[in-house]
Amino acid sequence: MNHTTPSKLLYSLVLAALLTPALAAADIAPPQPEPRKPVAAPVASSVPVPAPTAAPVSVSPPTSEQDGRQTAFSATLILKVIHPDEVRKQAIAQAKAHGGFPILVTDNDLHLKLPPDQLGPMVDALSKQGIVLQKSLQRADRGELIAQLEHRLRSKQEILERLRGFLGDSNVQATLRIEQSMSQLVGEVEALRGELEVERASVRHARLVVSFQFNRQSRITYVQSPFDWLNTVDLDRFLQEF
Amino acid sequence: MKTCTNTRKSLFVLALLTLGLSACGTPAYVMDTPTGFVKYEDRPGLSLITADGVRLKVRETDNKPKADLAFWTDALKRHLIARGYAPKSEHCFDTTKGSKGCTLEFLLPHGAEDWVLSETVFVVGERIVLVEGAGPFPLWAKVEAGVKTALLTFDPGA
Repeated sequence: MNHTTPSKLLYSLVLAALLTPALAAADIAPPQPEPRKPVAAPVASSVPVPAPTAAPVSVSPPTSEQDGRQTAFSATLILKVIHPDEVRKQAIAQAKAHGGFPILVTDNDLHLKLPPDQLGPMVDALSKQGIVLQKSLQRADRGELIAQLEHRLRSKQEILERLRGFLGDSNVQATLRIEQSMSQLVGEVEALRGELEVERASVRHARLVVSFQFNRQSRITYVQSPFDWLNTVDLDRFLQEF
Repeated sequence: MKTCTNTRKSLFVLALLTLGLSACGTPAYVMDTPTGFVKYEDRPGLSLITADGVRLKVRETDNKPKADLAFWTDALKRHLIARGYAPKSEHCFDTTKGSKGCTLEFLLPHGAEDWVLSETVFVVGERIVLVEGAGPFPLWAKVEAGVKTALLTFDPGA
């Protein structure tokens, strides 16, 4: 009987040593010290075992909302300009001046993140720079999805807190099971936090996709006209017969 | 000897007739040469090209079913849009000789580039005269104003 207690103690120490770096790597806040209960605690719980936990998540709504809704705005613009480089530079400068930033810059494409209220002015400003071949604006209400994510996150955090409370009164076997459950929960909480942040970011910033090249978005098809000569109006024919 | 002379005369007359017919078949289109273009003097009709390959050419077709400029401009626009050409601009004008014309410009993918296809329509009695132009977008943009000015001097012929 005497040899059981030291082995339990040793086991708990090993478990603590294994869990601590893993939790630190996951950027998880250290466990809050809990007041000891006056009752006699099992040996395993006498060693402070770091419980898996997740940082508290704010469920306050994002700063950018339209009409009380959490709406994600995005716009697509296909723009033909003579000097795409200059227009691209101007657009990036304008975006930065208004709290936006580029997320993709290539020879033919420019993707910007902008404060939602800057999306319209930016589209208008760019439209004046050249020929607009295509312009579209999309809006999607993210409120329901964000509410669901927040609810799921809150539930998981509550379960996590409850599990942490059990740690103090558990033996080694139970502690191990609790630890396992808590580790899994922490992973789920972190995934939910990431998903929630993505959704909130889509509301905080509108996305503008500008393409300076037309060819990828369009395909020329053959359409038969009832007027014969119209069927001969074609770039390829023109170039061949020139 | 006499037979030989007659044959030569017949051949000469035939050659003249052939030349005359070919001249009748291709009306003498007249247009100021836009800046940067050179004209193919040896080709019938009117063909012009710039150093970087922007092209202009005149051709004509029968006005069948007989319709006016507005009809054909509309039909041309609808047809090319249906094919996937992106309308770039449209403007109608009167030439200095009093002919009415309409220019439609479209953008379309061609290889790895976006090209402009310009179609200027004149309706002259039983004929539809087309001044067609094409070039990569940035190159066309350089000559666009010059072409527009030159079109004001276009004479589609009688």
